[in-house]
Amino acid sequence: MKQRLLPLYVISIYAFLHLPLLILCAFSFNSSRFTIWEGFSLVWYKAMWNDGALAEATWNSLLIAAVSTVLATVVGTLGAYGLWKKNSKFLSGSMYLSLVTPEIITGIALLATFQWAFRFFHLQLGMHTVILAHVTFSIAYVLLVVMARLRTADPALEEAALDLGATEWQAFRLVTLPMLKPGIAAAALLAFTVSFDDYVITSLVAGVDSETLPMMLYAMARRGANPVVSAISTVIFVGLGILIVASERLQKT
Amino acid sequence: MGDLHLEAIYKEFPSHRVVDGITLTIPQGCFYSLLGPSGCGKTTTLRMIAGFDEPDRGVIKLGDRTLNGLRPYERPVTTVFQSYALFPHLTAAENIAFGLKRKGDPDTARKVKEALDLVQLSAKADRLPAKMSGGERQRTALARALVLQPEVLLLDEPLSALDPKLRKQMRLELKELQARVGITFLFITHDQEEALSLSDQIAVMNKGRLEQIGTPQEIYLTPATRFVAGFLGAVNWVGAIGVRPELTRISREAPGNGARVVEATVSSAMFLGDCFQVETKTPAGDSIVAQIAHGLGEFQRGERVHVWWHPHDEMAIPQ
Amino acid sequence: MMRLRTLFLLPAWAFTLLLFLGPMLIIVVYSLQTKGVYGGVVEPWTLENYTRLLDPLYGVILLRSFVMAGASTIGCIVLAFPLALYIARSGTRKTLLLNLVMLPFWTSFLVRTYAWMFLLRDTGLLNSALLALGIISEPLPLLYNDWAVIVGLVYGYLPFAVLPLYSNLERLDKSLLEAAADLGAKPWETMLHVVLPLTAPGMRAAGVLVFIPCLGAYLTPDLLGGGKSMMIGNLVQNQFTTARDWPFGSALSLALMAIVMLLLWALLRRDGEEML
Repeated sequence: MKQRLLPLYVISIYAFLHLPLLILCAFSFNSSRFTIWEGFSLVWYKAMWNDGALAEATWNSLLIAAVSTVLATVVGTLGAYGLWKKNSKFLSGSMYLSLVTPEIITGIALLATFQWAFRFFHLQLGMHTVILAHVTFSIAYVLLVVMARLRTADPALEEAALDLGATEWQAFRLVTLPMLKPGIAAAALLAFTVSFDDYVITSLVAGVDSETLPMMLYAMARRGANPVVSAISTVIFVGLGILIVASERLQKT
Repeated sequence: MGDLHLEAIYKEFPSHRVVDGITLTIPQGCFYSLLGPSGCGKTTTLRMIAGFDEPDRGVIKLGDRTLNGLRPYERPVTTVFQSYALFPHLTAAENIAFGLKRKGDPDTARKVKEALDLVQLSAKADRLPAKMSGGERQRTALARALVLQPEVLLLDEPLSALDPKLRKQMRLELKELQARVGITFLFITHDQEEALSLSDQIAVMNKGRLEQIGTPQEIYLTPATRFVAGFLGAVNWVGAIGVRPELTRISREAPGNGARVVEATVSSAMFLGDCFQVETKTPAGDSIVAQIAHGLGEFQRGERVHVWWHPHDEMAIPQ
Repeated sequence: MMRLRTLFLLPAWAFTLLLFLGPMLIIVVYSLQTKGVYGGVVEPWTLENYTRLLDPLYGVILLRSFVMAGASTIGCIVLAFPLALYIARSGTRKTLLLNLVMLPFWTSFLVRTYAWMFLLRDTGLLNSALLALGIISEPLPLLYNDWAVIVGLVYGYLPFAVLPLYSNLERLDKSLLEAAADLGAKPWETMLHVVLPLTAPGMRAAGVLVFIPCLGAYLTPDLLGGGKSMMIGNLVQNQFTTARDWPFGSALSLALMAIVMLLLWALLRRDGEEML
């Protein structure tokens, strides 16, 4: 009996996981503004395309994600390499802790810190504070992915490079870095998605010039039913899905 | 150029002392083996010569140049790693060219080609390590280390990753290669057969100390300590006298002409394929094993026999 | 080698100290001070913010957070265990099935939460469908209650339960099950006396890994609870924005942080560092 029940149970869990998103995507192509299917239409995508504020928020999000990805990838990769050479329990522990810290706490702590720092510098919340915050929480993701890659690496490779006359820097650049390339690319994609997607922390440290796509999506979602939100969601869902599948692929090569 | 000297080398790790006062000289152009069980400190010794670890005390000299304190890339010494440590993103030829490029050698292309020829890998020059067989990887690693014309080549159990058949073949190739290039080879191994068959000289290590240095024959036939005798092969101990089982004979009648004889009782007899292994017990309680060829008779359990050997086959070791 | 390593670790250290540990320290300092008249933080130093945590007004929210997080954790494990068991036994399709669990998880959290709003709200798909079918005559209040929040949390953190359970079940030696059967155990007896005890570490890991983010959830109760189902995270946000009581918000955050660290510490102490 159990042999037939288990697959059924499993199928329903997969339905639970995937149907909400698939339905949302499907209804973004609905010509009606209500949740009754009336026919295929791209009207909500057109509305999304023509929304200037939305375009600006998307641009902000892409810019923030791109800059913080580059920074977090560099810092995280160097950090992972440093920790590989000699582990610092304190640093890696802090990294793990930052991963499990509730976002709301990270957000308010950063907000408090920025406000405190502004007493000494004539600055305001804005793009730069958002980017700093994003780099901070992305580093741990990069570190984790790159360290996983390094854990499978043969430490003798670098010794071999030194033995053959390479300096430490050359050993890193010519041997370890090429070997890490897929891992680093995967880490960067992951950093990009977590940055692009973040709402909680961003909303706390953003200024007037830095409204992001998730912030706008949040506001629209709270306002009530709006098929444009479904259209935006579908685009984000598909876009991030592609990045993540690419990242997974890279991690396995 | 010159001999490699280790003078009173000590190295301690947090848990224990790994190398405990080693002094030895490895003559230039020699095929020299460091033989010992795992954990005896031989790999640490190699790493100190290569420059991956620094000794706590003691001097490492090549000719009259001191190597202490030099970084690995400053030492005229290269290593063939146990795992080969081939760079996975570089082809065989690129792996071999790696060291030459670091030196900015203008003759890189020709030297790489010669090195590939030397190890018979010219046809596989553009292969990545992942696409090579175990033997090809091993040869690439050798070529990569040799192409820099080091004064000493360090080999860290280079055959251990190969299957037994290939291992015997590579052993021959290695010996031949060393004769051709004339570079000092320092070969680290725990396999006594490898060490015996390859080396001009062997240093046997145990628990961070040297037990004996000598030619393969000296080490095998006249071991200085019980450890060396036992590590290189099975031994029958009768008091302070040791005899190898393959040099021990058994007969029903007493042998003449000055042989050393012990009377004993057969406790077991086993057929091993190429010989019989007969285990006997002396009245004093010693157990003596003899390996005897086919046709020298079969012995039954419980039989009273004469166990004997020639005095010149004895190994006398003070206890 | 030492110098290069130190150099490489420097930026990571800088970010960790300045933008993670530093901010935490500032929160600690704020939690010991007093709320200013116009918001902000002033002296005197006080422990009052911590004693206020016990105020029934807030105690209710703390208690509710625990109950909601607990219920979501149980829900996740109940859903995840059979799923993990099935995946662990499905041979070559393992990777595909696991990726199918992870895929929605990696897409936008906000989008996933919105998908449930889309399904559950008064004019949402479920109500529209039920109305159209004539099963109900008035929309059911599916959204903006505790149940919606629990569904959202289970949906959000299910993979955190599936992964540790899967890796535990995957390592489970199949011959143990055969041995149990051989010794006369019925399948459910094998499950109860062999599989469950052996997957206890996986259960503990799954429990902690789901409970922690659920307890600190902010977005899910905010969107699916609609202010009616407040949890600690929302209270913290509220103190920092609307109420402008930073000292109390800081004390709340630290209390939450302390629970998170305590849970992790307990898990690591019990099941070792093999999980990291």
